[in-house]
Amino acid sequence: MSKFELSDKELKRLLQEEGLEEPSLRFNKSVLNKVAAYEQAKRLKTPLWLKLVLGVFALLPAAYLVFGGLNLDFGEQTQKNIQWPSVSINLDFLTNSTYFFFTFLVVGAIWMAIIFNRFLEQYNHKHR
Amino acid sequence: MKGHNESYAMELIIAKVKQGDMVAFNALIDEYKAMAFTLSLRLLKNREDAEEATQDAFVKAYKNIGQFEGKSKFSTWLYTIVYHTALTQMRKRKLETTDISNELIENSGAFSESGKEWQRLQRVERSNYIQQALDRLLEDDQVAITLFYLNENSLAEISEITGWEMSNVKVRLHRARKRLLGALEQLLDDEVKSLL
Repeated sequence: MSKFELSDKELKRLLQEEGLEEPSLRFNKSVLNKVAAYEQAKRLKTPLWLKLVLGVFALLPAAYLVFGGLNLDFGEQTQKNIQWPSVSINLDFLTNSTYFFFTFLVVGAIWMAIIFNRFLEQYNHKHR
Repeated sequence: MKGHNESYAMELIIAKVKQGDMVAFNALIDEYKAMAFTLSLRLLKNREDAEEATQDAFVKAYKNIGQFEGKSKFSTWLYTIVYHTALTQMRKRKLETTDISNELIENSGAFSESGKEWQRLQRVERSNYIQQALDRLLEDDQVAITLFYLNENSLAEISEITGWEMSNVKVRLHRARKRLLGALEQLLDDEVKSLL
């Protein structure tokens, strides 16, 4: 048992006399700045319709390749008997070759991404 | 009546913050920042870290204020966020904790002059000793002491803020108080010894 005793009341008084620690003077401003940054990020959040457009643009070349490449037939025969189409690659690097077509799609996708990025930047700038 | 008016004013402020009112949020920060910072400081023992953790806690509170339904006091809800944010930061930075040895408590009654010495001390000196004694405690003991004696939180509120069981809060508070007095006595005895 300690010989040094202080009642709860005394201890409370002593600690309350000590007071609370105060943060720096820029505390409020820093918190408000962080909240403002959060609010701004929330406003700049990509809207759903834009995400859908982006999704369609991203999936379009892939879907085109899949359906075009496999050349699926959704007729009556497909329901009973699925025949995997034979994939033929034309190695002629001139017109009508698969490589030509694929390169065209990749370049198209890159251009679409650049244009879309510019559009997003303008959109964000307007909503700032 | 005054308390009722104050809580009504706070409800209004919280309602405005929920609507995104920054002036109201600034008022809320002013009201609670000192206690929130003190709580963080007790855990992190570093003003910069404590300030960062407290700021993050206020931002978290702002983001989630929609979830505050008023079932408990706003301060309890806020200090819960502050406590856990500071705790996460403490674990992240793996701060070395200063442990108080059991020996200190056991030997706390070894000298009888400390009680008399305490009465002679001036307020500034007492303040200095209390700070030193608090610094010698474990972080959780400091939190318990701060919430119970300084902020006058109930045991149930401390349990809600810290996530400790009620029985654990009682035991921890009892031990923390004992350790604080032990640390004070040790400091005073050292002082007496140095004078002899």
